[in-house]
Amino acid sequence: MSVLRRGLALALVLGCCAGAIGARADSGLLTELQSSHVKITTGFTGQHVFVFGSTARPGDIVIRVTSPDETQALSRKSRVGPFWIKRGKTRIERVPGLVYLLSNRPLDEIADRAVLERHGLTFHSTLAAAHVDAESAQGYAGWQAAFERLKQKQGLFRKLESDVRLEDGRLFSADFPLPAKLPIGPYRLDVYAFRNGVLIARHESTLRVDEVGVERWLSRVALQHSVTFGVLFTALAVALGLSLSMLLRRDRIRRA
Amino acid sequence: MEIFLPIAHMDVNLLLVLAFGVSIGFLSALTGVGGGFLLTPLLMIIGVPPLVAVGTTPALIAGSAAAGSYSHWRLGNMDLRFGLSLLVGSWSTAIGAIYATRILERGGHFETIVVFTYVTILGTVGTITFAESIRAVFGRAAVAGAPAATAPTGGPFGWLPGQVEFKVAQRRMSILLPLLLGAFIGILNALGMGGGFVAVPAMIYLLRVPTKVAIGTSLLLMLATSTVVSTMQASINHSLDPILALTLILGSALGAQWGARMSSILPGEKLRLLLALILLAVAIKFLVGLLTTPAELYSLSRVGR
Repeated sequence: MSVLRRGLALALVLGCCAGAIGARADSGLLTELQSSHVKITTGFTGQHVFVFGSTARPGDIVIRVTSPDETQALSRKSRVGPFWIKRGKTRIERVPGLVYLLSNRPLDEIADRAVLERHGLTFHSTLAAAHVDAESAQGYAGWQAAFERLKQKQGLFRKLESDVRLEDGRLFSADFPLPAKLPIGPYRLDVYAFRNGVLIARHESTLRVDEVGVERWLSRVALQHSVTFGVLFTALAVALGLSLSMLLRRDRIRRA
Repeated sequence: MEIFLPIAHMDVNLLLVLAFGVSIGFLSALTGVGGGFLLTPLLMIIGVPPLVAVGTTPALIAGSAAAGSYSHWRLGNMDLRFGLSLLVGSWSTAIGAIYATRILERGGHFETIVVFTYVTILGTVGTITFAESIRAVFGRAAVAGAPAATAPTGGPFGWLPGQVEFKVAQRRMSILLPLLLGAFIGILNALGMGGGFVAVPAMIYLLRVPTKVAIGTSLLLMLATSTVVSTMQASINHSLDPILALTLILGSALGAQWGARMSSILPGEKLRLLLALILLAVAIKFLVGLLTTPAELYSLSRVGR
């Protein structure tokens, strides 16, 4: 599979270069996604996304995948008498739901921390635009560390430091797994080319992550037409409860 | 086999959820106790957000109460006037509780309230059921059955105002009693617990309603209250997950029929003991969670559903 994919990548990249189609940055950084649409169906259990591209000059490649900004609620437990309970929650606005940092070798070896920070290539720097409700933020100083830790535990903030494969210095490919439970919307895929610790090129592309089919229809109906949904679904539950019990009972009587 | 739940926004094992439905249906067919108060905490244990667990269970209760209500209605075991008085009480508090849920969830206190309520209710019901079934299993004849409804009027609450005649229940009592009982049931129902496990004994032992009428009327109360709660949880709190609900309804219908078939073979009292142990185990699990120092103080949740 991998050989096939690499072959495909190579063919496509060469095709792109030759025909100058695809996305081109000033400095000759090219990227393509094998599929730019991740479809979430009822049976969705995660999916691999395959990225490939080429650079004009050999160097290091870092790919940052981010889901759209969203609002999250962070709560903290504290002790009340003998109990540990959640005491309220703080809304954190404008934080990405998912951040993946892919590279061909450990990020620290590619560039200085300050450089990485400046280009948003650390988890901490992706939270720079976040807004915390000041009123409820008491006791949440240093929430970024907790946020990062929880996101890493959920597999939504990940560093994949050997995921980008370089082939002869100019061609690269990466293959990363998206989890089953993931934020929805247009994802950004930023590719950075570094040479001797200095950014030499950058290119951006998008990846759509959407619910499709029954899944999309159900969540849209349930959230946007919630009153109709509530009435109809409850009626369905009652009808189903009644008819299933009658059906199964008749079956039992017949067998007896 | 994993399946994605669109409202809970998570994936669960379909077979596990189906098994929950089957067990709940099975246990309620054999022990006569509806399973909402067990189902909601089980869903929370597998990671369903408390709001969604609480919001989805009423759909299941409405479905199974509909089946039960129908047969009891045909047998004439329902006191409609008594039922309606209970419903006025339960609808008012349930509707209030659903709006309160919205505010509490925003402020981040809903989970705490749900956990404390479940520890208390599961602990209490578990202990009572445990004591009762131990007595029954070890033979020292429990005083089974309801106290005979010899006195149609009076009783401990005879002095209350608003005495009304309830014909099918063969009782004359203050209308305040069913209103108050209904009001309590409404809160339990809005917290995903059904409430039949409180309504039936309260009607039999406190209000001295004949057992059959108590069961029939309680089913009517469950059906009518859960229907409103289910509709409102879906429309106001966006907390009813359709895929979760359908799987549970299907499982519980199968489990209930299976339980009904087994009822002549299996020893009912020993099953009540099993139910009591499950209830106590869940209560203890939640209690331990409250008392032990958590490894992680923070938690994240989604906003803006």
